[in-house]
Amino acid sequence: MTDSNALPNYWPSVLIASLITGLIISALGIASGYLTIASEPAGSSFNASSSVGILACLLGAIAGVIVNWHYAKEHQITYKIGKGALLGFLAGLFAVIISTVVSLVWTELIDANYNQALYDWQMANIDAQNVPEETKEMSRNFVPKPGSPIALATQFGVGILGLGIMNVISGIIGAKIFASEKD
Amino acid sequence: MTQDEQSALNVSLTPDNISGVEPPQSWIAKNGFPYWLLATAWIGIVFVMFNIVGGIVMAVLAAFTVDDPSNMELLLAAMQENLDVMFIGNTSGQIVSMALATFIVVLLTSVRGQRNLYLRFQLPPRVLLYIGASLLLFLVGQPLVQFAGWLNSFVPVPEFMRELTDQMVEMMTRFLTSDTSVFVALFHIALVPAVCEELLFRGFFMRSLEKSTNVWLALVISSAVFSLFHLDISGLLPRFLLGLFLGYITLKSNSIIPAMVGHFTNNALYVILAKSYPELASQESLPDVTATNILILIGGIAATAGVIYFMHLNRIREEETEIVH
Repeated sequence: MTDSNALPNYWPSVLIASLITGLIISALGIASGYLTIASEPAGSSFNASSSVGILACLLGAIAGVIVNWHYAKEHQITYKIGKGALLGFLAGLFAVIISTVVSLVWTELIDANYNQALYDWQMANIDAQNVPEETKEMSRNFVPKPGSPIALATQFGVGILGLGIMNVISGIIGAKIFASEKD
Repeated sequence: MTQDEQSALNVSLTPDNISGVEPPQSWIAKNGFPYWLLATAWIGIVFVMFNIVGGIVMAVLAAFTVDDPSNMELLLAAMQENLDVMFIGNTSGQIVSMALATFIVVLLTSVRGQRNLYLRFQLPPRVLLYIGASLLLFLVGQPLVQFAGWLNSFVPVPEFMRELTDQMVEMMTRFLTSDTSVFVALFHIALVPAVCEELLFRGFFMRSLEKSTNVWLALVISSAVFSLFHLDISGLLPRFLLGLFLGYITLKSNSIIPAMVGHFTNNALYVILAKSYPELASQESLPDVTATNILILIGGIAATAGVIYFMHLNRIREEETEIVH
């Protein structure tokens, strides 16, 4: 096995994997938003459009596999699964940064009405919920306006938490598949 | 010098190493994981697990208190009204995710049979001295903590965060001013957080960071994460400071027991004060800027520095004694 301490530069692989993943989750996230806006608010937490959002999150885990595949094949090396986990985590982290930037660009430059339409839908959905008025009020207060700094920070934090953990796991799997020594 | 380097020095003199046998390694060291990565990922997992476990326990308990558990409206109302249900859920979340699950994860980061040593869940020879110093630190450090709270009050807090904090304070006040026994309140608010949070943040997280970086950076990062974990912007700086105190006590005593005692005392004082003087529980506790308060603050800073220096000196003496022996 190649000495893990003397491995070649992994940043190109991290950037490629995070770019691919970041663009995929951005596209699915925005598409999920449009599907949501187009649907009828029924007061449910889950619907067909939110399942696209969940799919985007799950697809976000491919960064860990892509980065290990690219890194191991590019340099023809093997390494330990811990290194794979690190690569997966970094790819996930940068994928979240890229998708945040893409969604900012989309909502600021391409469709300026997107955030307001999504916010209106969320409020209408809360109104349609079958819960006490007090709970509705609490939900209304806790929904940050899409595009606001707090919404971006929340999206970023949740993204890093979710995709960070998922890509650590997929990074381990990726390293096991593509970078472990064959018997 | 990082812990890895220290371990390397210690290991080089062991009989196993002299005879050419490799010293035992933890699972994550064998598999090339950076300690900081596993520790950080674990904090994220605990955050999610804590909320899920707490939520499930609350929902199950609330279901027993309503006529129709399938009615979501009734269930949510029962969860909000019944504070015992909320506190039992919160306590269960802490015990399961922060303590029990962390005890299992430490099996990956520590060498077989040395889990308690890794967590510093041990009683060092002079533990009573450190417990005393810890209690003193939390007492004399109060003006400094209050000052941190005052500084924190200038940090802008988003509206929804402020409402969340207000609701938490209101719930805590209702719980403390209700007819709940003081022992039950101490269990939920002082004992469980002191044990579980110390195991997670000082025992596991700070220790794991020490293996990837130097101890002082590990202390600062673990204190910041401890503070952020509470999702309370208005208490960010005071909790960061408390985290620094608790981490420093742990580093100097090489045990999490004195930090657990200090943490328990800090929370218990709040519970006992609120139980004894219910009118204080709901009051804003930020002091005014007066000459007397400034003098108290200066005195508090000096006394805090004194206790910290005492612990530092004591540690040096212990290390010298260890070298002599």
